[in-house]
Amino acid sequence: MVDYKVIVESLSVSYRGNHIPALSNVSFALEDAECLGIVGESGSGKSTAALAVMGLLGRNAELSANSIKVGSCDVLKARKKALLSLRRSFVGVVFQDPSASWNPSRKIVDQLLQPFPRKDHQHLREKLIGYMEQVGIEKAQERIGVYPHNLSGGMLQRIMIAGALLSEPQLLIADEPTSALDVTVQADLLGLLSHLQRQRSLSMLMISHNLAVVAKISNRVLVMYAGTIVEAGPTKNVLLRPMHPYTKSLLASVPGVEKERKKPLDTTVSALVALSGCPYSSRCVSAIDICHTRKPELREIQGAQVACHRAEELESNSVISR
Amino acid sequence: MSSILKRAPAAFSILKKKFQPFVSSLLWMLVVVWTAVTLTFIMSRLIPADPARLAAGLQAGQEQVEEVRKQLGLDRPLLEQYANYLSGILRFDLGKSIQTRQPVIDDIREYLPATLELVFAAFFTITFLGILLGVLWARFPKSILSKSLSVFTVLGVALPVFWIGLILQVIFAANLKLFPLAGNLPYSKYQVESITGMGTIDSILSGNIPAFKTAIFALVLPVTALVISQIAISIRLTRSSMASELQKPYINAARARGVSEWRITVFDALRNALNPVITMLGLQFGWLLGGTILVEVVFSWPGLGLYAFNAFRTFDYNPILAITLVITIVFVVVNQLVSMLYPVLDPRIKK
Amino acid sequence: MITRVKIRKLVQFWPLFALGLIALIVLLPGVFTTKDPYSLDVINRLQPPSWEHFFGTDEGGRDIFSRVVYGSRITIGSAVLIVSISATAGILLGAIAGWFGGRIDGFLMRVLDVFLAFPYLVLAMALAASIGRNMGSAILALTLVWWPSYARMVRGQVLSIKNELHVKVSKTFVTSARQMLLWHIIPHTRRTIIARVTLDIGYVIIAITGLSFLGLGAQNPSPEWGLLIANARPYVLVGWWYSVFPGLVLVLIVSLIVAVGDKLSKETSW
Repeated sequence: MVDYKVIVESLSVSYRGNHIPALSNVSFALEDAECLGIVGESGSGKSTAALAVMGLLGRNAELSANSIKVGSCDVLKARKKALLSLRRSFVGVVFQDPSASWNPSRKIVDQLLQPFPRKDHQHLREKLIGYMEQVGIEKAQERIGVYPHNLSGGMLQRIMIAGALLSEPQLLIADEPTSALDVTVQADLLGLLSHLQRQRSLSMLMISHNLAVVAKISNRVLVMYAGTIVEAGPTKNVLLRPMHPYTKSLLASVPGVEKERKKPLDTTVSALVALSGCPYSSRCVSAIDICHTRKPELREIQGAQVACHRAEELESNSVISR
Repeated sequence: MSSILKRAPAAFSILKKKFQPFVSSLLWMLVVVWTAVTLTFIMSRLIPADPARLAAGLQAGQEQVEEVRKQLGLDRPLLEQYANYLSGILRFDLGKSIQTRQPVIDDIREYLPATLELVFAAFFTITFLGILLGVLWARFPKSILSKSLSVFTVLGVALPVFWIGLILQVIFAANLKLFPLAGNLPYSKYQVESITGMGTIDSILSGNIPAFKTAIFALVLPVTALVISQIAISIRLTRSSMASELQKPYINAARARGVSEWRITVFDALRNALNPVITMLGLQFGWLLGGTILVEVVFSWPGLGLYAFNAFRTFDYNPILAITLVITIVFVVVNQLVSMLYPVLDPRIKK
Repeated sequence: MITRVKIRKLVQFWPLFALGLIALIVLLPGVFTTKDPYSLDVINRLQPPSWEHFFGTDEGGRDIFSRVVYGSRITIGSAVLIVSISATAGILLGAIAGWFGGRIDGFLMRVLDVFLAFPYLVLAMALAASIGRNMGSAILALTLVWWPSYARMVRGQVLSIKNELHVKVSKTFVTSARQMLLWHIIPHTRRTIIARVTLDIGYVIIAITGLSFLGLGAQNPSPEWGLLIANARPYVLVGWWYSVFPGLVLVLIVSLIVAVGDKLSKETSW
């Protein structure tokens, strides 16, 4: 009997003002102690999917799904109190940009302890210091009482991770935790996350635009494009035997080292997304007629799932074309 | 001992650095005040009428006028008059009012509290009600309150104080008789002792509740007229500042930690969103100092504004110039103090 | 044929129509009324609104509607004048301060702080007392109080462009402050300034009517709106139309102007 930490069924999200939906009918599940990586370029809907799980989408998001279950809680139907307690005790989130994810006019410790009742602050403070040391921050005692602008990006991310662990969560959602950092710091942080995940048997959702990053720490991978899952499977499968043309192009373009990203080009995806048929068809080198007219469903092939009409034939051809 | 001596020069230069902006601000303040004083003097000598004749009265004969001229020192050379003027100011002598036949400084003391009562009441309303409504609007953008606020704030800015005061007076005081037509608390009628000169406070201090009620009611229409256009501005500003603050990533991060929405609104977003609002409030306070004149005239509120207006109408120039001077000084001093406060409020501004 | 799409496209340009209408009223009052705003007709004093007199008559029998129409020239005209002068002066001073920096900048900023948000009523009263009560002193008072915001805006722009130039291009490219002003600042800030000017015209109208109400600006028999309302005050209980209509027109016109200014400040594509 598999214990699922997160079950998402038929999630669709669109933002007001955009006629292209951010997510179309996405379903996935996260097993206990598993790390699921979600990869895609900006605009693919990966962050939206992860944030939707916790009800953290903004006001202009219109969300509809069959169900979203986190732990034993149905997020769609949950009352405010239930959702709050879920966020306080079950889930921890690490956000992308350390320079923007902290309130600049409050001390770090105040922000982290904010959701908890006053009486627990004393011992939570000590706990936090302990965690900070665990994640590799020296002089935690001093650092805890400073303002965000006094600390570096890497340091802030580590503190955010420590803070996320404070409530002993069973689920950790990491939304592009390393994208805003420079290369050396990234590797460290990834190692840290990986270590923590295994040490505590955390279920984890790891979101990134970089396949290498995701591959390093995930057990399974979801590849997303334009709001749909195009490929899903165990990391080894997806990495070594990619089946979807998009996954293949992603792999081909990863240099292995994270290049510094400036502001993501949202227009790339939305401008080229095909409105009928397979959303990737306008960019796909292997697209044929049916690709432009009928949307492919996710189907199981050789231990992984793919949404491509030509998956099998491309698979068999790939031995020749490589 | 020698270590202290060694560190002395360094400490001294640090002190000098810290004090330098302070000192230069102080100096500038003095310069502006002195300029204002000089300008008022020049203006007082520019007035079209003959000040001696005005002081003596329009019926006075030529000899009497010359008497008065000598008395007031108006026949002296200009520089001497200027020196006298300056020394007078330092002694708080601002001349006499022709109308009230009292020293202007006494008049000011008499009429100031009523104006302060109005200005403070108005300022509190603009600040607290404005911020409250702005926050509510940002937090619940689809509510009826928000929809009506968006209409109100567009029209509100266009409502001139004097006209809306007049309309309110006619509808609510004359016709509906809900509020007094004019004036503030009639002290003698309610037998309230005048301690501060402000109706509301004095009636509380005297424990006279009916008087307090009257005083509050007397404030309602004038304050409403005064406030209505400014509050539209502060509501809008608060809302847009809050709305943009609530979009920022750190708000979502706090939400993800399980902080309740109202806590986030008040303790996180508001704190950061208030910056431009506070700046605007400072500007609005300056405006209020002038705006009370309009309200005092319409509602016959016995404050400095009405005093200045009457002085103006009767060509009684000393009060006008005195008030200009006083307000300029107060304004400049408060401005400087506030700008010295800014680094204290925002931990990021260290320089 | 007039289709829904065409109407929608036309409606997009409502700011232009609004401003056009206001300009029409100001420049060609004869289009709207044929009556003389100054001619007295005491027999017909304080008449309620009718087909003959849309807004009724005042204490001198004059047609209030035409007084309002002609008064727009004075009220709106002087507001436009005030904003033009203070914007020009503010832009120049701000550019100078930003470009030359150093002591000049420091000094100008200090001066600016004094005038920024200074209670204009007080200043107007003092000026009116010394140089006479007329539109001139009112205009002077308001101009003195309104220029700082432009100076500040432009100075900020100049400073940021100065920084940019330092990084991108050597200083030899831009030879004079005037060149920089003409070719860099103005194109860049054109939109903000126009939006700001529009808004300010609205606010200044409110200010100037307030001054005239107190007797500090326009003098009788001028049909300036603030003065009209002041004249209406003694008759407010017997002739409600006298104070209500001019006020309503005032509120409507200012709302319109401010709404246009708002729209302009949000719009980025013009």
